[in-house]
Amino acid sequence: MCFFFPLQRKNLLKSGGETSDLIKPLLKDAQNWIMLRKLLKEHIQVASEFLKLYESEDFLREEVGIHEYRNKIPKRPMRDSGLPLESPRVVEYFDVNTLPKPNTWPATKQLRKAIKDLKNCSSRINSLDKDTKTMIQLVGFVTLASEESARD
Amino acid sequence: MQLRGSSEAALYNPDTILSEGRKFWLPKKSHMESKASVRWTWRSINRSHLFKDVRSNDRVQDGFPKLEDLKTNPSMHGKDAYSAKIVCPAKTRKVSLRCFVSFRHYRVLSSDLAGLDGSFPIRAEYSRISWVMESLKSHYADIDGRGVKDVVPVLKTKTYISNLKCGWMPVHGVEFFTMFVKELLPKWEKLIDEAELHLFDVVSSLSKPSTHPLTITSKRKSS
Repeated sequence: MCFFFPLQRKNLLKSGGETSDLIKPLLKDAQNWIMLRKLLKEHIQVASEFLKLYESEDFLREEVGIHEYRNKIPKRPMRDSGLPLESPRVVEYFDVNTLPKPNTWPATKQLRKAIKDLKNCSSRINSLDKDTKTMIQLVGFVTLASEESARD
Repeated sequence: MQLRGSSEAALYNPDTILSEGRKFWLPKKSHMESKASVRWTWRSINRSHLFKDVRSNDRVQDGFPKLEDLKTNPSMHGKDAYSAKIVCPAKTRKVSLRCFVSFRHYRVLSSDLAGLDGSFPIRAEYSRISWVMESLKSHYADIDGRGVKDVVPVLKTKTYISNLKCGWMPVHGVEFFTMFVKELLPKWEKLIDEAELHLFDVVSSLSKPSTHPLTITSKRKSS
């Protein structure tokens, strides 16, 4: 989105003084957009790291995998004495290609889509940043011009 | 890293209520005040104390437990177990794995609270969720009539804590986290919508001869 049109530039140039007061809030805005862009980047990065972690960490992968493919995992007759973890890990079934890879599971796709939607916000913040910088340049130019004319 | 402080330990109590406000009771420099963090901690826990307060001497450790941490106390299976006169039944070491997610985000302040300098008024807030995975007795539980056990994960999410608007009960921690990320999106979109409006107001005021930040603020108030 671009806010600037030739007419507005002209009006701003006409407006002359008092523009120096406008620069401060605009500079603060520009700082805010930079801060927000960094924050959004951090959100996306941490969410992506979680996605990678769940695909690689057995405890997380196992819970999701069993929920999604419970019927495809073969049940085993009870041979152990009921003690925990005597049997092979369920997660082994995911490793021998009997089940789809974790990156194709519906849970993964949903999370990936949610992260992608967040990424789309970046371009809008970039536009805010770009427009504000243009305004700062413009207001700065007008201030300089009015100062020079007052000196003359 | 081990956490022993009582204030930190209270964070790992499943009953801890997560607040979205800034005054969430936290130790200073906590990871919960960072921009975005996902923190995993685990502890070995006595089954009967599962839903009670975490005691200050409980060992809470960062990261994930290893398989060995879930196994029955090794001394019960070693030579000592057979040589003992009284054979005690093997006990499961219950493990509780907890995830804390804390993301900072910004909310637009209402025009009444807007700063007089005419800049875009925002305030930091936090969105937080937490869930607890607990070890089950065995990952082949629920014996059916043929003596075949159903398949269950070693660690299963039992407790979900959040202030999410979505009331849907997640089926696992990953879905819970996905719900959390999905709720971040409208917050970002609303913030950016307001920011665009703010810039539009500034540009509109620039096109008038009597340009002053105060007029921008008063204009927003009246609208």
